[in-house]
Amino acid sequence: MGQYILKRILYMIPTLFAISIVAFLIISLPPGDYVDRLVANARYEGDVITEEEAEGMRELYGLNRPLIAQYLVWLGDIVFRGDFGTSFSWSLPVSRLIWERLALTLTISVSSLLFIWVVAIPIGVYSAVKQYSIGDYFFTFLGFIGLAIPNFLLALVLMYISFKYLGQSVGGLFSSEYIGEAWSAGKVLDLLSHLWVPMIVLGTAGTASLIRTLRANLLDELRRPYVTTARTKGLPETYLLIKYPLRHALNPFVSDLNTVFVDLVSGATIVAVVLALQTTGPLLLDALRSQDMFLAGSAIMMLSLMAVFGTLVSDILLAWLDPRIRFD
Amino acid sequence: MSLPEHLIEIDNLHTHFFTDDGVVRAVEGVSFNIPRGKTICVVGESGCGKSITARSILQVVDPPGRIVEGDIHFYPDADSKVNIAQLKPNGKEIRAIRGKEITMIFQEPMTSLSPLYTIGNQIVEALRWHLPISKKEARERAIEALAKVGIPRPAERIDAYTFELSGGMRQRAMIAMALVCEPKLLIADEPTTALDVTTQANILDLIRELQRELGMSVMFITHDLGVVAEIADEVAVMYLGTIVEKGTVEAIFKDPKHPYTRALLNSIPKLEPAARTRLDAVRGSVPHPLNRPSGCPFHERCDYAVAGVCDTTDPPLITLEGQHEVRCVLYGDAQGDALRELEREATAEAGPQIAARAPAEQLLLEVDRLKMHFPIKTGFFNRTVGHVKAVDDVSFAIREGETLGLVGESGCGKTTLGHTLMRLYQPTAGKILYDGTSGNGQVDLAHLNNRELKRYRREIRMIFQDPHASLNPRMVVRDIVGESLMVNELAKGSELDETVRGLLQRVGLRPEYIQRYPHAFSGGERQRIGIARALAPNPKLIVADEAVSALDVSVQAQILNLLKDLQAEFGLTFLFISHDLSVVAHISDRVAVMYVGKIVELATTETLFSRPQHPYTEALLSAVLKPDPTLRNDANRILLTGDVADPANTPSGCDFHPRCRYAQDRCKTEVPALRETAAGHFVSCHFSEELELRGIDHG
Repeated sequence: MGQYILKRILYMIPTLFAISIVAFLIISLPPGDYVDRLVANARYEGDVITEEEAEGMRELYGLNRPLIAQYLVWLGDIVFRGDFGTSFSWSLPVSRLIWERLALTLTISVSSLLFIWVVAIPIGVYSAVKQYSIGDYFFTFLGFIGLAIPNFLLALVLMYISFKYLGQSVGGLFSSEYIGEAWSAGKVLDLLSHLWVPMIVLGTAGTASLIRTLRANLLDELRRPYVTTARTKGLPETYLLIKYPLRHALNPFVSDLNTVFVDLVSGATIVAVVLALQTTGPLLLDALRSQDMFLAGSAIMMLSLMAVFGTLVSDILLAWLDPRIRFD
Repeated sequence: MSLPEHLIEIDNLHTHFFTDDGVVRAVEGVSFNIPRGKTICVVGESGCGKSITARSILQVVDPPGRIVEGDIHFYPDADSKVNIAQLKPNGKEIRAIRGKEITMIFQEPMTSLSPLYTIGNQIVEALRWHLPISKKEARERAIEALAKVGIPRPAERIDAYTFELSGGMRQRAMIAMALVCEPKLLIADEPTTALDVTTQANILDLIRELQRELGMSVMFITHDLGVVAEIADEVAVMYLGTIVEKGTVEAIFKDPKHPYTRALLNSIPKLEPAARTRLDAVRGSVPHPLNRPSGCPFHERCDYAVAGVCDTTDPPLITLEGQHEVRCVLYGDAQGDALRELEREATAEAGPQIAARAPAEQLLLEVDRLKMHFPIKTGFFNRTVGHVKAVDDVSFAIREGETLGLVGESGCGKTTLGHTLMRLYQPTAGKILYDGTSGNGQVDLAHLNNRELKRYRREIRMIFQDPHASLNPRMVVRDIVGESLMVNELAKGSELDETVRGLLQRVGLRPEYIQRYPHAFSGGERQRIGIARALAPNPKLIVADEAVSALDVSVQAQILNLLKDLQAEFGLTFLFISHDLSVVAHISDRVAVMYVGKIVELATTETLFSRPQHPYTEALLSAVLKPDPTLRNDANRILLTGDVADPANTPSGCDFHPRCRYAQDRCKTEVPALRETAAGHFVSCHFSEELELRGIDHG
C-alpha cells in the first residue's frame, strides 16, 4: 500500500509539469499582451501611452523576452521561491490574492462533496434494495429534477429563500462585518452559516447523478453469486448488504469521485458569480478577460493541482476499497 | 429415540418466479427425501430447476422468485422438526439454519467468493456468526479447516485473496468455508463444472472423504452423469421443474426407466474410440419454463410419447421395485405396447456406424516450430521483464479431411495455438505452412501481412465456445452468416439470401429465421448459426475451439453429429480443441496433448487412449469419469497435485516433472524432445519406452 501511494505521488510530478506548460501556453495564446490592453484602455480614455513607455513596461514586466524564457522564469520562481509573480491589474503579489480564495474554494468543494456522499449513498442503497417501490420512484423523480435544474437558477431560488425567510445576508460567504477581518471563532461560524447555500447548489446535480450511478451499480451487484454465498452463511441482510455488495458498488462510485471533484473545483464559476462567492472562479474569469497572465496562469495551475490531488485521493481510496488494485 | 431416517423431506414443492412476461414455474411439484449421511445427486440439463430446488431449501431464491406451495421438513435431531418452507425469508430462524446446519457451495468459486476480503475473513465470519468463540479461536479453526481441505501452508493462505489462488484452491477454500461449522447437509451446486478434469477428480475425492468423516448428507447438483456415477448414493433426474425418475445410483445407470434418463445416458460420447457411431441425440432442447408443455413436460422430445395421453394428462408417479420411482405413463397399466417398444429399442444396437472416411495423404496444414510469446511489461517505462510462452516450439501437421483433437488443462495454450493458426496474432517464430486449393502450393501464413492473408481467411474458419458471446446481438442471422460472403465479394443481394437460407437448412435451422436476431434462439441453435457462419465461404479448415463445451449433453450430441455429417459432406478438416476427452475421443482421428505451450504427445485416437506414452496423458485419461457407478472410486486413479506450470516461469527440465509420479533426476535438468517412438506416435518423455502406462480400459 505504501509503495502504491508513493508511486501515485511520483506520477503526479510529470503530470503537474505538463499542466504548467499547457497553463502557460493558454494564457499566452491570445494575441497581444497586458501592455497592449493598457494602451488600448488609455486610448479609450483619451490618454496616450507612447511606444517607448509601452516598451519600458514590457521590459519591466519581462514581456519582451521569448516565450520559453518567460515560462522558465515563471516556473522557476514558483518552484524555488513560492513566488507566483505579480498581478498586473491588482498590482499585488498573486500569492496574496490567491491563497485565501483557494482555501475557500477547497472548503466549498469538499463540503459539497461530503453533502453529495451523505445524501446520495443512503438514497442510492434504498432505491436499489427497494427497486420499483414508491420510495424508489419518488427519489428517481427528485433525482431527475435535480439533474435538470441549472445550478445558477437553484442558487437564485435558495438566495431568495434564505433572504426572505431566514433573514440572512444574501450572497458571499461572510456577513459584511467580517469581510476583510482576521479569522476568529465568530468568522468561522459566520462562514458555516453561509456555506449551506453553495453546498446545496453545487451538490444537487452531483447528488442526483450519483444516486442513479449507485442504484445501477448496486442493482448489478445484488444479483452476484457472492451475495447469495453470504446469505447462505446466515448473515443478516443489512450487515451483508453493507459488507459485500455496497463495497463492490462503491468502486465505480469512487473512480467517478475525481470527476465530480474536478467539476466542483472548476465548474462552479457561474454559481460563484451569482452568489458573489470569493472563490477562485470569478477571480480567474476576470484575470482571463484582462489578460492578467500571471494571475490567470497561477489560478489555472492551482486549480489543476487541486484536481490532480483529488485524483490522488480517489486513487488511494480505491486501493483501500479494492485489494485487486493494490496488488496490480 | 433414534434419529429420523431422512434429514430433509421435500413434499410437493413449488417455486415460481413472477416476471413481467408471466409466471415462470421453475419448480413444479418436486418431492424427494435427503437421506441422512448419504449423497443424493440431482441431475438434469440447464434450465430444469435443479439450482432453484436447492436454493429453495435455504430460502435464498432471488426475487421475483418465491416458494408458493409445499413443505420442506428438516429434522436436525431426534426431537426437533422445522418446516423451512414456512419460515420467513431472511428471518432469524432460517438464518440460524443457514451456514450452520445447511451450507452451500457453488459452481464458480471466483464469483461466489468476494475478491475484496481475504478468504480467512470470509471463513471466520461464518464461524463467529454462529458460534460464541473469540477472534483468535475462530482464526485457528479456519486454519484447521483450510488444512483439512488440503490447502498447503494454511496459516499463510488464510490471508490470501481469492484472486491469488488457482481455481482448484479457490473451490477448496469455498468448501472449507461451508464445512467450518460442521453442517448436517452440504448442498453442492455444480461445484466441479468450471474446473479441469484433473482438479475435478481431486475435489470430488475431497467431498467424499469429508462427508464420511463428518457424517453429513450431501445434495449434489450436476449435469454431468460421469460425476453422478462417481459420487451418488441416490439419484433424482429432473426435467422442467419436476422429478421424472429417482432411485439408487445402480438402478438409474443399470436400469434407467424414463425416456429422458435413457436419452441423457445415450447422448454421452463414449471414450472407446472404436465405437465411433453417431450419438443418440434427443431432438430439440429444454424449452423455456414459460413455454412449459401441457401434460408430460418431456412429451415433445420423447420418441415414445402416446398421442392423446402424454400431451394432455400429467404422468402418474409409479413406484417400481427397490424404491425406484418413475413419472411416466408407459409404466402404467394401459400402455404395454409402447413400453415393449421402448424396451426393444433400448437393447437394440446403438446408432449406425459413421461412413468410413479415410483422410487423404495430402497435408493441408503443417506447423513448424511455431512460437507465440507474449511480453510481460511492467513499471513506468513498460520494460519487458519476461515472456509468457503460450505456444512454445510446436510442430504438427493436419491431413486434408482429418480431425485433429487438441486437449490439455486450461492455461496450457490450446486456445492461443488456435488463434495463432488463424493469424489473430503475429507469431513470434516458426512457420504455418498451408496448402489449400488456391493452387500456389504451400504458403507460410506466419509471414503474410493482413492484405495477403485476406484470401486465406475464408479458407480457415473458426467456431467459438460461447454461442451467446460470439454472435453480435445487433445483427440479424442473414448478416451474421453472410458477412464473410459480402466481405469477400462472393455473393450479394438475393443470391446472398439464397446461400444463407441453404446454409441454415444444412445446419438444421429453418430458412425463415434469416431475419431474426440471435436472442431469439436457444444455445444449441446459436451454435448452429455459428457453424453456418464458419461454413459460409466454403472453408477447408475449421478450428473449433471448445465448440460444444457450453452446451447441454443432449444438444452437444446433436452438434457433434452435425459436425461429423458436414465433414463427410464437404470434406472439411477440423482442429478440434476441447478439454473434454470423451468428446475428443468421439470426433478425432488423431489427438495432440498439450502442456504449458508444448505438445507432449500426439498419436492416433485409438493408440493415445489405449496405450498412452506420456505420464500427463495417462493422468488426464485417468481423471475422466465414466458414467458407470461400478467403476467409481478407482483406487488406481492418478490424482495430479499442484497446478499447471506458469508459462512465464517454467520449471527446469521437463515442464511436467513437478507433478509427474515417475519423475527422476534427469527430468529435472534435461528438457525432453518430442520424439517419434512408433510410427506416427510422438512423445516428449525421457522414459516413454520404459514406462507401462494405463490407458482407458475397454469394457
